[in-house]
Amino acid sequence: MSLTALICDDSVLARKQVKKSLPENFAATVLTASNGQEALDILSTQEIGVVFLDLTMPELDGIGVLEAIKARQLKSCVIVISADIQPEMQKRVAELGALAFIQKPVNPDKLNQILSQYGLI
Amino acid sequence: MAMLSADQQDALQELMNVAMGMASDQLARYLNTLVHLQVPAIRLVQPSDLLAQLEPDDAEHQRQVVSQGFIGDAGFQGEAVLFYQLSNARQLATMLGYPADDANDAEMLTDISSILTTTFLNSLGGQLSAQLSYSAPRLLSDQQELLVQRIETPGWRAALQVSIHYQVIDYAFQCEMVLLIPELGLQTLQQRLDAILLEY
Repeated sequence: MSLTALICDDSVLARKQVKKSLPENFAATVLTASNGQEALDILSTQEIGVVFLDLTMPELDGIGVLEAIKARQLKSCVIVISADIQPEMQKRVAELGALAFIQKPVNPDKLNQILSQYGLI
Repeated sequence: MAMLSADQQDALQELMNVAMGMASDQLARYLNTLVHLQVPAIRLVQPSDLLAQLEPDDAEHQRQVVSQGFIGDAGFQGEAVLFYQLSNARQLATMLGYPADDANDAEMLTDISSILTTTFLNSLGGQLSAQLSYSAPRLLSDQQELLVQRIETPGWRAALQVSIHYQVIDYAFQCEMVLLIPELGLQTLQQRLDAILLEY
């Protein structure tokens, strides 16, 4: 079964940066959402293997998305890609079940390393 | 004056987001607490709008304003103005280890401002490939005229205003950072944003 990935960020530039940073051997259909609510709508209609999630967003922020994923017991892996790098925030997303935290602007090597660490490539 | 295109505005917002993240991380470490962030708001303003914001508001007795100028290559320049809402500046100053008097409360505010603006501007400048230098942060209650004079010069007929909100619930502390970039700086900014957009 093929993997579907979701990039959730309110910035077009940030979504493009993540998309361009994905390694070539990352064989997945890539969807995008421009805020947390859009992401939840997508997550409730189809199976998403991995979510690349921003934290600071309008409508519903990344914390809200993580809480909803946890409450709905979805199996999606979440990799947070955020500018909000406060230690307290990193701790909070880890507690809410995020696999990894990547500081913005996203570094392709770091992304590659995390994807391979979790067997996603 | 040329407005930012939708792509430029989106790119600027993302750059600001990264810079804001760096600044709030520094502030969080300094205050040893969590800083709440919101998406920055960007709009084009006139000098009269800027001056109106500096007018003291009777309902906001505790408001303090700190301003810091910045300048970089190719005419990139502006002013970072921080509007503080502190329910108790003295309490915060005491917790941070400043001896209790008005001069130290002011020193604390300029110290916090320095952390916020230089961290923010270093990150923004780095992303825009612009080396920036800064003036010392100054409390506007003392030197408001300097900022007003600067804003009233012709190059500031229109300016880009970026509002960033830092909220520290543990200390009942709120800070609105308004970044003002005049026409001259805006052209350079747009060129640099276009270069970034071309990469993606």
